[in-house]
Amino acid sequence: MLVPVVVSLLAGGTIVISRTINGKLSSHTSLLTGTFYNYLVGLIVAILVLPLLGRNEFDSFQFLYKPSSLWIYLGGILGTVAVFLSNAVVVKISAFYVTLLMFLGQLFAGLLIDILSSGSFSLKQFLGGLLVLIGFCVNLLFDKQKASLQKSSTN
Amino acid sequence: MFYFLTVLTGILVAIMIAINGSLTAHYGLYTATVIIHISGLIVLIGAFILKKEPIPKDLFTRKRILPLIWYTGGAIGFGTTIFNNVAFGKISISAILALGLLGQSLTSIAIDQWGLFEMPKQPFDTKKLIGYSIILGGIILLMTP
Repeated sequence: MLVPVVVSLLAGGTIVISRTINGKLSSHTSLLTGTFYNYLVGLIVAILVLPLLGRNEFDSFQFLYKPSSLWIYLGGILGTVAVFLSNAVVVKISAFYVTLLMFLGQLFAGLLIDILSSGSFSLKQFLGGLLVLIGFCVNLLFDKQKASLQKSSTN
Repeated sequence: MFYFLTVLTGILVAIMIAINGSLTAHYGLYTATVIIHISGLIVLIGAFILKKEPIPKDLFTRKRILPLIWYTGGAIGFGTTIFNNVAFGKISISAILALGLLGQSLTSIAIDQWGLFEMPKQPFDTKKLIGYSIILGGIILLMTP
């Protein structure tokens, strides 16, 4: 149980760092170029790592005999759209709010996927998500208040 | 508009984690990660062709637009794909996402506080502790079985 918990926490850290770096590259080039380099550099790393750590995946070649549906290949495409969109917003909104708003979308989609795959609805998880949303709204109001104060002091 | 787009990005990320997890179950962790990057790259090359723009290659030339460090987003993102696929199937999607947020919050606060990665400095507003307490309560509720 410790491994999935630790790697999920680490995933959060790498998401933010990667998004911030990509946002800067995009602002100096274009959104498309920033996203393109994100995938190109990621692919180069993935290809370099494959023979080092993924060798056993080739030994059996079992996957060639397993049937697969086409939808399992759509992750990369969705990721492209997600990176493209996050590169667009990261330079407009503070890193913390990007994080929270994305969580809002992730949370409700995640809850829905969990409900669909388990076939049951968890009130506790829904309330947890709702609390995160309320907390976000409270802080957004503080941000707006601060911005309007700064505006009136410069006028 | 930007707030809505950010929420939409989150929805796509949740669906993506589930799909990539299935791909990993099929091919193995590292092979799946290569496939994920190839399928993404095909879409991007298609976008350049549609827009009739040249495919960028300044990274491999001496005329790099930015220092090399600003091209490493994808190398760090490779870690995200590996981490998500390792966790998939071992804990629920909601738990993966909730823990991911915790990691994201800590990293984001550090970036804003010290203006890391040349981002504008946004010192921590202590009033926001009210919101953070509520958010933390929500995350704890999400994490309890």
